Amino acid sequence: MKIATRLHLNTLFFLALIAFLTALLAWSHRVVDREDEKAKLANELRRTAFERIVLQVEERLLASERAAAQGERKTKALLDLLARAAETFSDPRELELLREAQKHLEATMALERPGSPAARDPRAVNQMLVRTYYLIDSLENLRLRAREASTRVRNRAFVLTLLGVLGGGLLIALNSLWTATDIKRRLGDLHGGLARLGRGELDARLPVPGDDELADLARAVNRMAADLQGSLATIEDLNREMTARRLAEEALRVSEENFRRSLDDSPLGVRIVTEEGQTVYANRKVFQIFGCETVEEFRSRPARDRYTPESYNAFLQRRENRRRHRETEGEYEIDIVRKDGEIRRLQVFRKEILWDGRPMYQVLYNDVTEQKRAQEALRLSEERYRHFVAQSSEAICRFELAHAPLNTTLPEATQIDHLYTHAVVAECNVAFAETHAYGSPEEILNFRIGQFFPRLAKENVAYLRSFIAGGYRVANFESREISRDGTVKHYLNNMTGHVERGFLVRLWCTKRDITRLREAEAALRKKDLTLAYLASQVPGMLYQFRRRPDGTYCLPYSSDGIRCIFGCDPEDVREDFTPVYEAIVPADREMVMESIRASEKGLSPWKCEFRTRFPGVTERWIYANSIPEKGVDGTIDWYGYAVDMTERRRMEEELRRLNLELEERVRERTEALEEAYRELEAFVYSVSHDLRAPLRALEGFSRILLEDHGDAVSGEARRLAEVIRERALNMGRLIDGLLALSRVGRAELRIVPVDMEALVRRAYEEVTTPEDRERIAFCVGSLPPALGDPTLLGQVWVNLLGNAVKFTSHKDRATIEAGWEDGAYFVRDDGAGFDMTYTDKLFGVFQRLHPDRLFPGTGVGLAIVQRIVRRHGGRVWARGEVDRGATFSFTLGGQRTH
Amino acid sequence: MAVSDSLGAALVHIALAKGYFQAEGLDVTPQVHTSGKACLDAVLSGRADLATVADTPIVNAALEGKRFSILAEINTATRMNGIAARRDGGIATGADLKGKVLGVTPGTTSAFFADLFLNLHGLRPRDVSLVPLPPEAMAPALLEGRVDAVSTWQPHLTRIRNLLGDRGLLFYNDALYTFSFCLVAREGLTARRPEAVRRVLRALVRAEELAAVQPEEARRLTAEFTKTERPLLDQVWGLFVFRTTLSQALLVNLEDQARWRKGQGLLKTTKTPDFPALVESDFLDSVKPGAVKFIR
Repeated sequence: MKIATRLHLNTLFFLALIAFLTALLAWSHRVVDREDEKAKLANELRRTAFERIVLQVEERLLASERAAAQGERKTKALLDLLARAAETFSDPRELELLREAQKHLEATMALERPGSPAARDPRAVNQMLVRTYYLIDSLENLRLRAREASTRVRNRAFVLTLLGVLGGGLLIALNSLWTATDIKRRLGDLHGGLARLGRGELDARLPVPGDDELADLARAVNRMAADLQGSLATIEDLNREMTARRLAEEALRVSEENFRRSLDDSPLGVRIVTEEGQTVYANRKVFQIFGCETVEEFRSRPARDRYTPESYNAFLQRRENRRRHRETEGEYEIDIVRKDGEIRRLQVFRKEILWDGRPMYQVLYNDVTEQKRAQEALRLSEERYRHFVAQSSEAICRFELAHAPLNTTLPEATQIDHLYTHAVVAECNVAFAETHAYGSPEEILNFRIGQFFPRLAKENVAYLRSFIAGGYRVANFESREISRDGTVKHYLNNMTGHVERGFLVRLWCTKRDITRLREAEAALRKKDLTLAYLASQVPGMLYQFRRRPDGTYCLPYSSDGIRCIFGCDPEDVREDFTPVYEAIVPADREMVMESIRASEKGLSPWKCEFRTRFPGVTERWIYANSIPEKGVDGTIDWYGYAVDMTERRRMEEELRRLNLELEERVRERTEALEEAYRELEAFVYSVSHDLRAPLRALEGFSRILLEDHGDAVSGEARRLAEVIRERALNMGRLIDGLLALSRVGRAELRIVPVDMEALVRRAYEEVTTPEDRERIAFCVGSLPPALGDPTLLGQVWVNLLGNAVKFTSHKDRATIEAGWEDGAYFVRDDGAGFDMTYTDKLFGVFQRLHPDRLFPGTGVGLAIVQRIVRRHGGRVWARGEVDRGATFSFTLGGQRTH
Repeated sequence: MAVSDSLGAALVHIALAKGYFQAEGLDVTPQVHTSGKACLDAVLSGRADLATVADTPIVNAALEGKRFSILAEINTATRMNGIAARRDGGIATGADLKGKVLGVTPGTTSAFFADLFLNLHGLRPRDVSLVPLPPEAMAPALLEGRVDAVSTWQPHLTRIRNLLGDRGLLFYNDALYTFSFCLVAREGLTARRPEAVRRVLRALVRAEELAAVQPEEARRLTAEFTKTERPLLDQVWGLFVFRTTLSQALLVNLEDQARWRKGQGLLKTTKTPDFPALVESDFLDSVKPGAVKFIR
């Protein structure tokens, strides 16, 4: 924008501001005037209302008609004013106040009306006053609002005017300031630009912002500067040419100096010698190589000292050859001895040159000591590597693709084809050859890769795929290969490829034969299967239960039976014991864990019975048994089995219940029997006693009859009396027998060691008379002592020997023998004997096989013997033959024979 | 603050609902009562500091010599009170009340208005049977025919009218009685906590401003607080002037009622209470200049 335009704008702003302010003032005046009008009207209303009250009071107090008429007029005037106000005021709240006032006025008018209650009730006057006060309050509120509105409008007009003046003034001031600042800056730029041109900087240009008058001026100055610049160009070209020549001469001089400096700084030792071997120049490297400081010091060391003896001899030889103009080699190696005594190997290049116009020799020394050492180290390293490879038990092989490097960008399948076609064995160790059943590495040189890795084996192709996918590197990959003898072997391979500029040129492969491992694994798998099969046939489950060092539990192995015992799969518990723990009935868990901890602590066998419950089954009783074994790392493994013993437990329970029942029944029966037995004993005893009295009377009276009245009775009567006496005595004996039998049953056993031999002898003495002893040959064998009641056992011997004596009484010579035979005591006689048909009657009470007249007796003796023997836990039996004698044997139970 | 749930206390309801008291830094606990009389009782018995109450209970308390401070009128209405009657009871004009049963609530504006109304129609209290009824019992009594007419206040009047429909009619008389609802304080409160009293009034002036500028919002808040059906509230809202003021008319009104009470001959005292002494106008004057209109 032109400066003149800006200044015009400023003037226009000013004029517009004046116009705005004038309009604002005019508008404000009008609004204020209107509000003042309203305020005046409100004042008028209030004043009229007051006057009306005063007139009403006058009318009431003085009953003045004049005041009444005036009051009428004031009421009318008030009504008119209210009507006018309703047109003048527009604000809703003001209109509301007017309506209130109107209402209150009308209420007072109603109360004043003739015939209104005011005339009758003084309280209506009060109400009139109330409404009058409210009327005045409403009008007062209206007046206050009008006054407030008037003040508000005035203030607003003032603020607007102030804002207009300040805003417009500020706008004008800002425009003026901006214009002045801009002009000042632009004039400064112009001044600076002209000053530079004045100093001869003809390429300097002035900035040309905008399109005002100062921009036009800057453009004109720039054009003038361009014209001046064109005319000065020719002079400058001339100056440039002269400068170039001066620079070329300087460059030549510097080049010569640089040549010398380059010799000095050469990385090779450079030495210039005369034909006589005199050193004329040696650079810094030569001093460094030979360990000298200066050329003088170098010269001062004779050649002999500078070479090792071998190199010195060669040096003399070469000098001699040169002297004789024989052909000498220009490139050779020497060993030198540095000033500090170190020997170094130098490569030497010698040739003739012109030095300062004269023929000289330039000798270049290249210190190859480090290179030689490195080569030696490399050679040694290589040798070590070869030994290492050759002796390694691991099969190592290098395949080469030297003739057909593999493009690594080709598709995978193509690359595998290429490897099978072109990769050949370049080197391998003995282990590699031998594992493929070849005698030596040389035999398989240049073999193709496919001769070991049949392509038909899927894992081999996968191996090469993995090798390619892994960036020509693969580790621990398995292959299946065929040896020369046709055996299939498994290997674990590592292979690394060497890639040069995107082509695979070489492969290094190491492999380990894991055939045996695989076979072992297969065998193990088979064993596992067998074990699993066996485990599946075992009722319940087999398991390996483990406590890890961190205190957690798991079941590394569990047979399929775990499904029935704990309702989970072997897989579920391989790492975590929780499913098993949760299958245990909560009430039993702590007990189970406590028993496990106890087993852990003492490494004692773990046995436990507990209950399990899981979805789908009822509560089960489980019996688990295992042996712990502690590992070196603190792991404890239990090996054992668990069985479902719910059924067994149920049966045991049933059995226990039955046993209890049985015992109870036995006890009841025993009691009943004992009771019956006791009753019987008592009966027998009492009967025996009660029978004795009449018997004694019978026997006594019959004896008295015979003795005192023998004369008085006849023969037949006498016989009958004797029979009576005889029978009474016999009956007495029978009763004695019965009593004895009864006593045997009741008597308490007093078990002590008994000397049976003595007992036999005493019994024999007891049952025999001296006559008997003469008639009988009695012999006693060796009798082992016994444990028993001596009195009762004595009774046994008495009864048996008594019987033997009795049943041999009809013989003049008899033999009786007491002894021990086949674990039983016996008494044998050669008397009347008995018919074996009646054996079962022998031991019955009152059972007799012989008539009383031949062998008198009661038939109780053997019954007593049997009872005593039985009470001792033994057995009694008899063998006999009519007229050939009898043998009575008895035992006393195992523990009774001492 | 003991707050009546009648519409007369709408400004307090609005101030509570909008949190104007909290905004003034006051922690006001409202005690809601069903009549202004109960509110005033709370203040007189020391259970509350401030109360909203109509003119009649104020007059009764003053006559009994109770001491308290009138701080401001918060509402005036000229049609607050009226007589609701049953047309089918043979009532068509005010004069027809003669010999009828009329329900009034003693001690409230209800009784005062009934007396004025009967007087206006040339009747004396003994010309009718007056039955004492609490405000909430008026409608059932009239509907069940136990009374022929009742004297009560809004919104009960309009509610009864709505319930009766064509069978009922209302008698108003604008000129008879102007109802004033006031804010009163416990004796000594203004001396003890003058600033708090000022803040209470400031909050009420704010509520008045809201009622003037946002009448719809004011109605909604009042309906919620008083649990008045919205259509009923809309019907009666226009009868009230919600403005904080202290007018000379209040004094005249109070004295008039005091005289009436004495005229009934039931009081021991014969002295008219000194109402101007109960009015404390300085607080309202300082909070809302120009609002104090009574002549000091």
